Amino acid sequence: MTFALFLLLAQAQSMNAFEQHARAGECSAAAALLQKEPKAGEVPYVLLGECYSRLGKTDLAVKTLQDGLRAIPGSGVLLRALGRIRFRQDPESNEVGSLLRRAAAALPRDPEALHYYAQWAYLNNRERLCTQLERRALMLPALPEQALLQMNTLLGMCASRLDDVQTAGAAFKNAFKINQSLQVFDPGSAYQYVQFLLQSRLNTEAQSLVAELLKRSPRFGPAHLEMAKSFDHSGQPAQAIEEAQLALAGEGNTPSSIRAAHVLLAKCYFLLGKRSEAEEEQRWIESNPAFPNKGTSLGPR
Amino acid sequence: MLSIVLAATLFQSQPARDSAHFSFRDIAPTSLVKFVLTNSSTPAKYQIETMISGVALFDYNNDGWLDIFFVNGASIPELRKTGPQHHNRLYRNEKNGTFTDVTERARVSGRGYGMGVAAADYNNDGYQDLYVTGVNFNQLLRNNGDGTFSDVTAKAGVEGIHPKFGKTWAISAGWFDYDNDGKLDLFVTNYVQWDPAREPDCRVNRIRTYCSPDRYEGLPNFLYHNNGDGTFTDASVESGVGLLAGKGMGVAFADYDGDGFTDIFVANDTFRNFFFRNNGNGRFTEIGVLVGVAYNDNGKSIAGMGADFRDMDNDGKPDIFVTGMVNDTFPLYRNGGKLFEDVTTRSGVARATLRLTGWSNGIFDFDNDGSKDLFAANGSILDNSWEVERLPAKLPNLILRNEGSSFRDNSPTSGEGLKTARMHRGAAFGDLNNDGRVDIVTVSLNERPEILINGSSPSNHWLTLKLTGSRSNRDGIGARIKITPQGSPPQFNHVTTSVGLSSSSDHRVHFGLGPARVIKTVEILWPSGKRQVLGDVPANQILAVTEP
Repeated sequence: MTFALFLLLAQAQSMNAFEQHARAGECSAAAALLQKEPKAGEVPYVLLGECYSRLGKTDLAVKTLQDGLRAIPGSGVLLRALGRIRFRQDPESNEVGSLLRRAAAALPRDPEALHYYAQWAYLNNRERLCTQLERRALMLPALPEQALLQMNTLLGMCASRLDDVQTAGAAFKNAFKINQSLQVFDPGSAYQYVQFLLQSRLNTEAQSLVAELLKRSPRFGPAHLEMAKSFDHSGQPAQAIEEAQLALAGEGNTPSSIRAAHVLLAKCYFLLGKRSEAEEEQRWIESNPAFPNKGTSLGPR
Repeated sequence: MLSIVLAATLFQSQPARDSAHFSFRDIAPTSLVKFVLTNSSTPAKYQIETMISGVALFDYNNDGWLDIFFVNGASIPELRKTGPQHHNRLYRNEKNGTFTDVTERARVSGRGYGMGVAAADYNNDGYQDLYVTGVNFNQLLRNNGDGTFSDVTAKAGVEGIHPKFGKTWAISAGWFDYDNDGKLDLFVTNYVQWDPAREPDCRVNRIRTYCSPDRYEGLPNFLYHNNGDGTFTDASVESGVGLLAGKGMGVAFADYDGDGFTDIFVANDTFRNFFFRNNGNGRFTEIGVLVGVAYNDNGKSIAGMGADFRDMDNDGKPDIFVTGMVNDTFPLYRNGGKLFEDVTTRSGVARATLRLTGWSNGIFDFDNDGSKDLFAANGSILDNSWEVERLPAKLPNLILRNEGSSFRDNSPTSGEGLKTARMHRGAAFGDLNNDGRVDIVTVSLNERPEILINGSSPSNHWLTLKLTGSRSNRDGIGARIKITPQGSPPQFNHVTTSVGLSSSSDHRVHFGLGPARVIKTVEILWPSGKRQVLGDVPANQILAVTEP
């Protein structure tokens, strides 16, 4: 065995131990190893960053990745990892946008880097940028179905905001087709399609999609809420109440969908003359903080 | 008694090229109106700077032509009108497309940092008066009938001073007769507890911006009962409307359930809207959540701005149109009799308004086709919104054409007057040239106003009613009107000047008639309860009707 080969093997073993620690969530042990024997390349920093992130130690994850960037300036992989973590912390920050922009520039053929930056763009009123990024990402070869689903969905959402109904409709249609073929149906993506159809006043299509969505994900709360709204619109408050209750008992709710279900319940109970139930719902609404428009999701309001 | 008052077309209106399009032309540059809304903006981003909106269309000299009153700002943080650049302005309509500044003679230049205005004849003397809301002063300006006004605020007891909070920051005001005693009462929306010495430092991405309303505590609104002797009694608490604190913006009135008593809708900023049902006994019950207008369809408290409460679909039940900020969409609540239904998405209004921030707004039939359309004056809240959030600070206005079950955005094809992007705020509606089409005056921060003369669909017919109450209040505010044009379905409207945000509109009631030249019946239900029916009324006139 040559000395060089010996060194390489030793390094590989050490890397292996580091990787084992990092993947097992033993971040301190992995960090100690990394400090004792600094590793070449960006992968160790990413692994350790992910390790901290999984344990909820976001600050340490950020610090690790920043250390990595100091060691390997301009690394696209590190920028992407850091941008992703910081995006979860503060999706409205320009600094995060800058990290993700640099990541996308450094990794122009990396679908993840493009998609993260597109997500930031969507949340920060850069819908044109969002559609450009997702279009570029969708042209990359060999994308997994799950990625295609997410990218088409986000492309649909961004194009819809731009009032580009054609692009949005096509993207949502693509996403839904992929969704139907997946082993695990993604109700969130389909729900975005429902919202698009409703905004486009394609109410019949939206209702069929809600029905299909509930067939595949019978416990998806936001879809039950849409059913409830539909009953309410057609003057069937009792059925609306049933569906709103199913929505609340279901899965996949957001704070805003829960609130919307209570708002609908208050109204329908009032219409049916069930004043005390209506007032109980009103009390729930008032005692649970509202979710005012944060502006553009980043604006000051 | 009825008489034909006027049917003239002296302003030059551009004829619409297509009956499906609106046509508005901004005559401000040639109107001799020099007013500039001066908000005295500072780097410190005092919240009041972005909120000022007041404009009124009313006939101060009873010559049958609408005049224009503009509310203005003051120096900051002193909140004093330090020179003519801060004066409120009254412009007399010269009936030829120009206006004369009569502010000094009328004595209406104002005090302090103004916000909004409400016009109506509160003392039933035949002349419309003004109530001006503001940050540090509210003013009741009694019209003396000789071209001058007197400040009677203190004597009337409507200074807008709260026993606990002192002078509150008032945004909008509105006149209505809540107890049907023939005397107009006054409702004032209050915004938030604010002190220039304690303005929070709000930043997004380290850039100084106006703060979210979340950073301030809300305030209760005021209801002043008109005693009929020039004074008012603060009925806020005893009526129930002053028991709730909100962040009041626009206020609009209508009788939503047809019980003969006027109800109140208040748009609140990032707080649930209030709907005060008039119990008919001097008290109100707030039932916004229960009737479905407190939140939008997604259960969200939007940044409520302006409001109009008017029957948009001619089913005899007044509906509510509210403006909000970008991503809110502008809620449209259809009155189903007992409850309102949020039809924002289904009506196409959501898609048209998603990227807009709207302020004053109105529901009017702009093309006289018999269906009421929607208008919103738009502009970002932040003057640095591009820097802060990559959104344009200046936005064009929006006009949505009523196409039966939905609304279509016709703004881009509605003439040059609708294309200009500005930081629009107030908007008042009325027929400035008495040609039977509803014109619009808008104000924008630090710019001249727009005077949008409506030249849409000149071949369509119309009817405008100018009511004079006898037992009811003299302006007929609150009177409900049903007309049945020959060969067309009935239409409904009511008398109000409280439209949009901080603004006051023509109290005459306008109807577009499409091809109908005759109205078979005009039915008026006066606030006094008196029902009046007129038959076979010819179209294309401003019809003066006095309560029998």
